[in-house]
Amino acid sequence: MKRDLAHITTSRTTTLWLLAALLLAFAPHTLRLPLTISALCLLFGLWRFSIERRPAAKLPRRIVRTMILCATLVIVYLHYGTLLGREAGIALLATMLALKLLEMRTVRDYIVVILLGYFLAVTLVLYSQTLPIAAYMILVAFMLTATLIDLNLQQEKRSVQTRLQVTGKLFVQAVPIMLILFFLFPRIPGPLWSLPDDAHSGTTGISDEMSMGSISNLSQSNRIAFRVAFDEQIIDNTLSYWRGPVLWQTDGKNWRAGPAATSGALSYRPKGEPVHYTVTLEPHNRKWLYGLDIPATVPPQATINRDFQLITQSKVKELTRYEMSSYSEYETGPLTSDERQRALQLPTSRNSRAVALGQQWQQRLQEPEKIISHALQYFNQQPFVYTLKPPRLGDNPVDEFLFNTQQGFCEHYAASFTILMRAAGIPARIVTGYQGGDFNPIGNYLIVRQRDAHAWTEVWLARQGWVRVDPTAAVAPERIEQGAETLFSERFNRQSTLQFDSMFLTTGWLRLRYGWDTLNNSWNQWVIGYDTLKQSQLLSRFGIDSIKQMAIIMVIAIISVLTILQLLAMRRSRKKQDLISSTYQHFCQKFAAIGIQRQPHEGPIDFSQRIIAARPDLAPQVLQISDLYIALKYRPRHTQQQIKQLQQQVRRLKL
Amino acid sequence: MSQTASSLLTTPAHTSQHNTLLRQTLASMNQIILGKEQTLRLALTCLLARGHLLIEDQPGVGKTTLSHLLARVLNLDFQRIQFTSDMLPADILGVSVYDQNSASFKFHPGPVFSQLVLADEVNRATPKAQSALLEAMEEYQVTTEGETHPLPSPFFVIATQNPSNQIGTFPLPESQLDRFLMRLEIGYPNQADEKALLKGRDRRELLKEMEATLTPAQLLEIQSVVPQIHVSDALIDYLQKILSFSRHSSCYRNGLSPRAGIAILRCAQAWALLDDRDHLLPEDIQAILPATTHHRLQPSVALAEQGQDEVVSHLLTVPLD
Repeated sequence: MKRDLAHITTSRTTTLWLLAALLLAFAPHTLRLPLTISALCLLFGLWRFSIERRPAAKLPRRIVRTMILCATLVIVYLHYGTLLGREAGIALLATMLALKLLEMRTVRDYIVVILLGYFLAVTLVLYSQTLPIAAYMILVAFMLTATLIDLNLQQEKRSVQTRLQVTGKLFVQAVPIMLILFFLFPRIPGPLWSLPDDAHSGTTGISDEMSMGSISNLSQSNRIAFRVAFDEQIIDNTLSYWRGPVLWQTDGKNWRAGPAATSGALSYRPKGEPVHYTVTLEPHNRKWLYGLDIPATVPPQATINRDFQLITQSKVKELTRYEMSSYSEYETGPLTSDERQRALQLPTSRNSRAVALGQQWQQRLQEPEKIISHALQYFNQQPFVYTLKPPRLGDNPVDEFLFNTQQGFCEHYAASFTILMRAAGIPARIVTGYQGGDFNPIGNYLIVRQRDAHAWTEVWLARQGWVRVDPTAAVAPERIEQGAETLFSERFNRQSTLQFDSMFLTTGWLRLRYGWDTLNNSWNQWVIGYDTLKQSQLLSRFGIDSIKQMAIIMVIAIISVLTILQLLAMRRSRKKQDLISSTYQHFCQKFAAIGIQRQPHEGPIDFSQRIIAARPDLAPQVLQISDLYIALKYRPRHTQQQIKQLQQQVRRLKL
Repeated sequence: MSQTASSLLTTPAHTSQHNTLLRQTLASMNQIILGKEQTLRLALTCLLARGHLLIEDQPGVGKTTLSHLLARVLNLDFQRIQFTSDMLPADILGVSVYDQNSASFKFHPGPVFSQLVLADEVNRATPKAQSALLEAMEEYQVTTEGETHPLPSPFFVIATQNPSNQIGTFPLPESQLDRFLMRLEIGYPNQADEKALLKGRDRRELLKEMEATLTPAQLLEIQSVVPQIHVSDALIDYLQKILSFSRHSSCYRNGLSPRAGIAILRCAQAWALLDDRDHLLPEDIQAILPATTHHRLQPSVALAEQGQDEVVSHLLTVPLD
């Protein structure tokens, strides 16, 4: 297929296809790009479209284009304050691509635009690497490739069918090569493209600070925090506390971790057997991992501190997969004096009524165990309400919550309980993280979402060490036992019984949802999670140990795939040629029987003329067969149809 | 490959337009030289395939007329060089002469600087003079005294040789014969045509009245289409069989060179174009095979008494598939 560029011509259809493909590649970006930039790109596209509609219209002149270019650069710069980085870079790419449409004239321009279109599509993965995005990118690539193919077809051969057929064929042929590259191309530790600093900056999740209302905000979100696959059996919901940041320091309103824990060996005595599981953590832009309370092993990418928190070196900006084990029952070691001091720290200026109540309990009950159970009883018996939308609280939030509003979410209960305990002289701290989760029966794993975010309290008791106390459980035990989803969706169901009347519909919907999440999870595990480690594990099973071997095998595999494809194509054309020759042979034999023998060196035209001279009555049929044979054997292109016709004609020929 | 040339194949309108021109050209040629349709067609084929032509025949059969005719219908400027034994290369290529006004040497181009050159009785000149011409034919440029001068385009040489009366001649060696794409004989006309010739007007006068049917630019354009005539794999196989036959058969002392193979292919493509086709057929190869191989093959000792025509015709018996 050698052809000059000059041979290729563009047409209106090509341009319209190209515009459609580019629009498809650009559409998801409009969700993130500033409105001005999106509008600008669409404007340029529409401009080109209108030019295409009216054949008399001309592309803008060079001076106009230059002015628009400068204006666009200024707009992008004003928006971002830079032309570099992910956001500004994509905005620049999109606007320049749209501008290029206004000077797209020659075939070379078209090809440049198509290649830039592929690039624009690829930038989608800088934001999200999910299955739907991948599927969408394949669609965009398909459209762009179809346009590219259209450009390379001769004018009269162009049709939607050929375009789609050829592109489909190309894509199918590309699959083995894609698989080879996926499995064998040496993976770089970390993402292939180093994500810029602003990646995932808008991500919500648990932070290392807590104030009243911060977690209940989170609870509106259905986004997945992480998925957990258990090795043996799933852990009971009441034990499924996923440990995140531990908060010590408070001013009575806000809670933060405070200064890092001082030295002192981590000591605990496990009871019972550990639970083994694998967590796939979505990027959350923070420097910690989540583990089941309390972590027994530490994944290689993290360290554990004295708060039993898993700390990473850098922010988690990509999907992270780690194997862990935890003990759900344990006793921790002694408290240092520094820790005791921090665990009893109480701001004097705020929440005086709560502090007084705590002090009163201490005097009355003396023993910490009694104080704790009394406090839980207090939460249980007073008319406390567990709600997603608690009223706003003022300067003494704990007092207001305990004695006035009595409506709150887990952070209200945890914070109040901790203040009460500290006032009663019991060392206490808040632990944030997630609780519960959603078991996916199809994929057999636990889905933990942002709405499962939770806060609870740990108190230190002399004989047991740190003990988890969850005051929320005293108020709304179903939150802990069944998870946040059931609690709030029940309320939702009751309101819209009409829609979810049928049990079947509901379970069908649930099955669909779990199935979809299972698919996403497998995508995460096998495609996104296929990293250096997994690759070397997989390949060492086949005895491939070094990158060098990997590269050699990759090259060999690609060459063999290409060779096989080529051989198949050759065999097909060889088979076709054999069929054509044998049919013509049959034709010659028919005439040999009546004495007109074809000489071995005789060409088809000479032979047909000799036949016609001898049998003028057969001229039409003979000429037709001879023409077909020539077309099939000597002309550049032919169709399957013509082979069938030749066979038919020869069969029908009666001498 | 220009846009117009390449689109010729895809848009039939262009092809037929060129073909009309070519048909007209052949028709006018046939009015002057009577009864030599096949020869004229081969001569035009050779020209379209950008090759040079060698004509070997008796004097008076129309060699010079054919050259004049081609120059006339194709509107090419024409020079005739009569080769003699005392000829020097400068007589063909040109000389540098000292110019007093500009105080420098000035190149005066020789007769070879012409679009169509008739090299009459090329075997009369010494090998030195012959090779000057042959080099120009091969390189499409002339280099004298360190300076290179390109030859005009198109550039086409018709050389003639007289086969009899070989005393005092320097026959072209095989290596130089290979530079000619085709070798033709014109031969005597048949009775009817000769009668028409004798009864008709003087050919030279008729020539003067003739109109050109092609411009040099059109000729160049058509020449550029020739290599695009589609050659299927089956025909390449056939051509290779012919080449291999010439190399392994006991009929010939030496086989056909790869250059000869390319020459056959180009000529066959030009022949197909003259036949208004965008693809090659075995008949095209067979049609130009004698003319393109006659001067390239020598019969082996066993076939020495056969005529050269007969020797060459063995190639035509190579089976198609």
